[in-house]
Amino acid sequence: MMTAAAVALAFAISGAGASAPAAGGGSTRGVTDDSIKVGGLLQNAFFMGADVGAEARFKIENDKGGVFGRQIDFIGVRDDGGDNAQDAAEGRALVQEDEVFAVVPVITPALSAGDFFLQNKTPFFGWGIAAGFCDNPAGFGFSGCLTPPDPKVAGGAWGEMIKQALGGSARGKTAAVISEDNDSGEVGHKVIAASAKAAGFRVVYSKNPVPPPPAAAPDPTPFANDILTSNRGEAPDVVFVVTSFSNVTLLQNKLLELGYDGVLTNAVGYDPRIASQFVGSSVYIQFNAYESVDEGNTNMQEIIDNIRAVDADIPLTQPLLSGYLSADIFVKALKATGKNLTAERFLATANKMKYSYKDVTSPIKYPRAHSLGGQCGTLVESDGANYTIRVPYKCYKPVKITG
Amino acid sequence: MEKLLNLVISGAVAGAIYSIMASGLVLTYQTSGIFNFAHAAVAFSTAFLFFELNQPTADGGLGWPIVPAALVSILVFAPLLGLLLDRLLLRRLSAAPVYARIVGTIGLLVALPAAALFLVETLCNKVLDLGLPTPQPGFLPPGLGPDPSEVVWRPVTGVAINSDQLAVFAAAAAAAVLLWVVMRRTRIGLEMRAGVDRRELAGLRGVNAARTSAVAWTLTMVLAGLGGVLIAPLQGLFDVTYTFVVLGSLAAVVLAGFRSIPLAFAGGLLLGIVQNLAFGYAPDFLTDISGFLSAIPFILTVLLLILMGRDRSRAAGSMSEEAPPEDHRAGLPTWRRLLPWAIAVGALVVFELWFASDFWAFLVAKGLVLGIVFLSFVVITGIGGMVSLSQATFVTASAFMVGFLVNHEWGFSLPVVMHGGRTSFLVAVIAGTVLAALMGALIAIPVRRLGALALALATLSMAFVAELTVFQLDDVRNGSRGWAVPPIDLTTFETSIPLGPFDFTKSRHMAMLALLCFGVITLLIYNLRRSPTGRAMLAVRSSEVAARTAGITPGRAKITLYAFSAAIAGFGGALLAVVNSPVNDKTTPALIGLIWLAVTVTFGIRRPGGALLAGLAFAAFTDVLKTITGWAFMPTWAEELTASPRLAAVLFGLGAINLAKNPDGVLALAGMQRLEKRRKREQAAREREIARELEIARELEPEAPPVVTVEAPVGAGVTAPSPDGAFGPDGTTPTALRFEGIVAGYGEVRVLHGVDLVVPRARVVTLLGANGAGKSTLCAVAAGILAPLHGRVVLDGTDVTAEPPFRRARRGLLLAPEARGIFPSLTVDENLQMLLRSSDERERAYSRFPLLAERRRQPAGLLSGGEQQMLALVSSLVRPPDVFIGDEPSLGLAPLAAEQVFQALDELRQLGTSLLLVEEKAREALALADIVAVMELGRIVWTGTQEEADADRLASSYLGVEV
Repeated sequence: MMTAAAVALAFAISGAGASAPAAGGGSTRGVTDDSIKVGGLLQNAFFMGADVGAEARFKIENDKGGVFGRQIDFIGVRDDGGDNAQDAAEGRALVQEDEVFAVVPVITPALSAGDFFLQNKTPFFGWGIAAGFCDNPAGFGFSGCLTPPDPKVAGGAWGEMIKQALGGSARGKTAAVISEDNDSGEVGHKVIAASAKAAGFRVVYSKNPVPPPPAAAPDPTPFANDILTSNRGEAPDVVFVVTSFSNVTLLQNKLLELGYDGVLTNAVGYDPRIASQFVGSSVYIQFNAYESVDEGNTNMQEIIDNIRAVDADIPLTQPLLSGYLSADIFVKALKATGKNLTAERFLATANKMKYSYKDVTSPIKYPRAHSLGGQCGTLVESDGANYTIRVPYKCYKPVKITG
Repeated sequence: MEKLLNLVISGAVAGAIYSIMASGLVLTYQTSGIFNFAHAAVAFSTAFLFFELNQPTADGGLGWPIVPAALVSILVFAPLLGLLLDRLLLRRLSAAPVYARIVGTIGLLVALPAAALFLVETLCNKVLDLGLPTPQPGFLPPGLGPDPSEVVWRPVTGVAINSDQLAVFAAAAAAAVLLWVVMRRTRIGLEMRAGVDRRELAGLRGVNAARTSAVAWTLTMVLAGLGGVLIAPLQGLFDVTYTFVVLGSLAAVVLAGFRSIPLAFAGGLLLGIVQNLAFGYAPDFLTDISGFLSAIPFILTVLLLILMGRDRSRAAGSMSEEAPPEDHRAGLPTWRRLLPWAIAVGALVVFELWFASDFWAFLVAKGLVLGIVFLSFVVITGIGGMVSLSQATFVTASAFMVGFLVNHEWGFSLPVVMHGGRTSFLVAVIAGTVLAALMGALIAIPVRRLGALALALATLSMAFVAELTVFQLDDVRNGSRGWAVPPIDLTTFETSIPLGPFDFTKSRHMAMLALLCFGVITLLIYNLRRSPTGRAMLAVRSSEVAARTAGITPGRAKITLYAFSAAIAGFGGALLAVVNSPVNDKTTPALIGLIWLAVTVTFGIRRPGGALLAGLAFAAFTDVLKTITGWAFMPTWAEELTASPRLAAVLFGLGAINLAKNPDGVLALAGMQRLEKRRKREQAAREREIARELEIARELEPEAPPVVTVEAPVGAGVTAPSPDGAFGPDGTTPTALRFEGIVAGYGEVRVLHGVDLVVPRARVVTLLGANGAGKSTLCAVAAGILAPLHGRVVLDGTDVTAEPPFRRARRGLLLAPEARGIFPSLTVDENLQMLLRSSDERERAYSRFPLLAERRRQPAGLLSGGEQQMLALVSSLVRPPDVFIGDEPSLGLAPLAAEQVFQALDELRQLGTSLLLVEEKAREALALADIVAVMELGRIVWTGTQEEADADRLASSYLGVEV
């Protein structure tokens, strides 16, 4: 009697919540005959505008009748507030509540939903600034995996471009690399130091002492002074500031106040809304600059036109472009998969694809790009109101990290 | 050498950031007795407003120049915010138990910045499309100085002080000086400090607590706002950064002993110097420990708190400051209490298993697991009365332990505990729980002797240290990816426990498991409460001194409780690792512990049911809102409004603020209404009863007049008193103080049952009676500390029954309370200043009692009993009050000292003051008296002149039997 009841109860419980398997032998969540449902995941506070970029790209396809007759139904983005737990929750909601086919664009440093996406066969596309993009067969950064945990190679772009900015030769020139006191900073300074060394600089300082946000060091003077005396008591010719945003501004300002007159370079300061804060530094960006349209970059012009068709006033920022490019690689993968669209077929196709956007972003190849980032870049400078291109967009080779 | 100088100078200037925040924290504590956790929130909000006002119109701001923007935000907004908070929150909190004050201000810390950001980001920008500027990463907004900042001083090579840094330093220094002057040299400062020292006595001495409170909060808010605007260009405008800076300045606050503003200023500079020296000179092995240098302010805070934070408050002889609030369910049978919960849980189970979609099933599971974590708050705060802010640390540690064990390939395999070369989940959970318990015990050992506030601060700082150092280590957190903890699959156990068909990869089953564990832990908690340890803890919480005399070791009880609470958090954390997988150091950062606390307080921190509701609310709140606002008939703006994660923070913060004092949180609100109705009914019944009794009393004794006969200098005779009570029965003797039909008591207990008493002008009335007769209660009613349930108090012809103590004091009524009417933390001279404003008057006081003159700069708390009483009385001798009420003035004094006291009272009488003396030492008091009244069980049973007083009558009154 008891056993029967227990068994019945057990069956009832285990039966509850069983979901029907997909018809046709493949996961087609979010896919109908005439639409593909897509939603994004952003840290809205810092990467505002990425959704507009994606929307602009999807509109192009939708206006042409969709991909194989399917309109891309972009439901907008969810905001994870930069919080890991929130990100996991929003990612889960995208799959279980919104029932999207794919998550595009994904632009947040707090990406934690990657494993869940993988388990639920949900491809995701975005900007590979979070570790969740690396070694995840369902995650595709349009410029690959930019933060591999234990890299053996580094991008050679930054070092090379600085060398060119200095006239083409690094002979006799010294460089300092400074990053933040956490383990991504630990990797970061080694990677960039390798890049500088490969370009021919003598690296006289390579450390990561700066307190990372939210911890704050009220005074950057100790670090600045260490840098300014690192070249046998003198200042180095180049300082690579590989920290998060606020610390870049603080450090660079202090170096300038203390009289530094060499090259200051960072990788964050390309944003027209704060151009005034980055005067005097050269900014390394991973794709081409918007300003390249002045040199006749038709592909970039096309992108800008497409964006303007959706929003006439939005400032042209990196998040905006990365949203556009995330959508672009997704669309290309859709086209490569063909009309018979299931998650499994899509993932199989995407994991063999080559992606590039000429004169805009690095060519990459999957599956290698799951553990390696794109190798191209541009060097720009701000004059306080606008940016100019110091070293034009070019692609470089990766370099080995030694020691 | 040059390097050292550079670091010291630049560090000192940079440390001004800490100084200005530390000064604000000390000021708040000094003037209100509350440690304002939300200081950073006020600073941020003010700076945020300044940002919105000041940003150029091209970027969406209002484009105001610096001066008007600063004036409005720092001198208008900040004080208004202070006044608002004072009225809504802080005044209620200053009389609340310490943990409620901590939790209330934490609620504010959670709610205020979230509200500011919600207002701008969501309401103004998303919904109303106003395009207001929001702080961009990397953007350092301008402060009060020129923008961009200019270098204003190069003291040595290698140091460049820019205008923003100079502005902070100048402001911090100016504030420190100004505040020191205000606190130590002005009347208002004296009143504020007196109010914090002994609140009730300050009221009795004419201090309007509401006004000083408002002034105090205005000052601190202005300082917070000023600090906020000034540090924005140095740190960026982000709420979390502000919190870190303010909490980083804690070391300076502790160094200043929470009391001295100049020391706080100096401490901040010192902290800046120490940080710079550490950055500049740290040996390589220290820099290799990731995050160590960044954690220095917090490490220092912990060390200083442990060294200096011992609870040195005078606990002996004081009553418990904390009476547990009423339980509105008291008197209900057990089944009645449990039934609503049983129904609710049953409904939840049904929903979870059969009706919920996968998504909602997951949310419920997450909520239940969080409920387990929140049970740890019920234990540590609900039972233990301690505020522990390191719960997130235990959760993270346990999650990491589980993640490591479940993923680590051991290379061999043991039966039962391992499976396929890896540890089984059950063992991993146990390991995580044990680790958390050990950590809890370890943390509790150094902090167990700290006072409640120091404990909260120490645990919070420790949480930051852990987050910045240990949890940063690659091996501990497994890099940025973190530890992946797969859903529990009990079916892979080798020895199958008969749970065969249960598959915990499904959220639903996970939820049932969590519910089961929740129930088990709840049972454990109930057992704990009834166990010796639990009772010991409650005893310690009520009165540590009394507990010690009963043989309880408070330290051991605290450590046990802490370890148990940490174990619960760890267990919950282990399950949470599955829910949140993958877990890294950012999954449950230290600050989320504050939000958890706020949520739990909102729903009730005393009961496990509160933890359950809190967990579910926290997990599902945003999505419930989204569902509701997603319904067809809802406008789109509703959905946009609720999509922001900040809304939850605002609401939970507000919840914590409102319910800080109520340990049953929202759960109580429902029951409260019933309780209120019941109480009102009982109150009305009581009043009817009182009226009836008085009538009967009057009917029974129509002959005997209810008031005492007065030996008046102008003839005698008994006639009715004048209606306004200004004149005595004979119609001509002026009455200084008159009680008419006073009925009063405490809570349900009635102490005075209709007291009529007259103190004629310039006469001494001595009130005698045994302990418990109600004499002190009558004094309290006279002074206004206790409101009577019935009757009037008439002071010199004016009905003052409704007036607060400070107004009566200003009318000339002085109560010398039982426990010595002096302020122990103020010096002798400052004590005198409370009533004697001119130094001439104080000199007269000193000449009257030269002993006091020798000790004029000593804190009054160091004087002997007799000296303290003389201090309390001497002001009256210099400036005689209209009416002096002495409640047992000779209590606890040696005979010689007591004699001095009575001499002083005699002097007072000769100066024309009317005296009401309450005494047990009958002989001396009788000698002094004009009129004697005897009180017994709340009634005046006999009055007469001194000559008529009969020794036998008095003796029987005291002994309770006929002599």
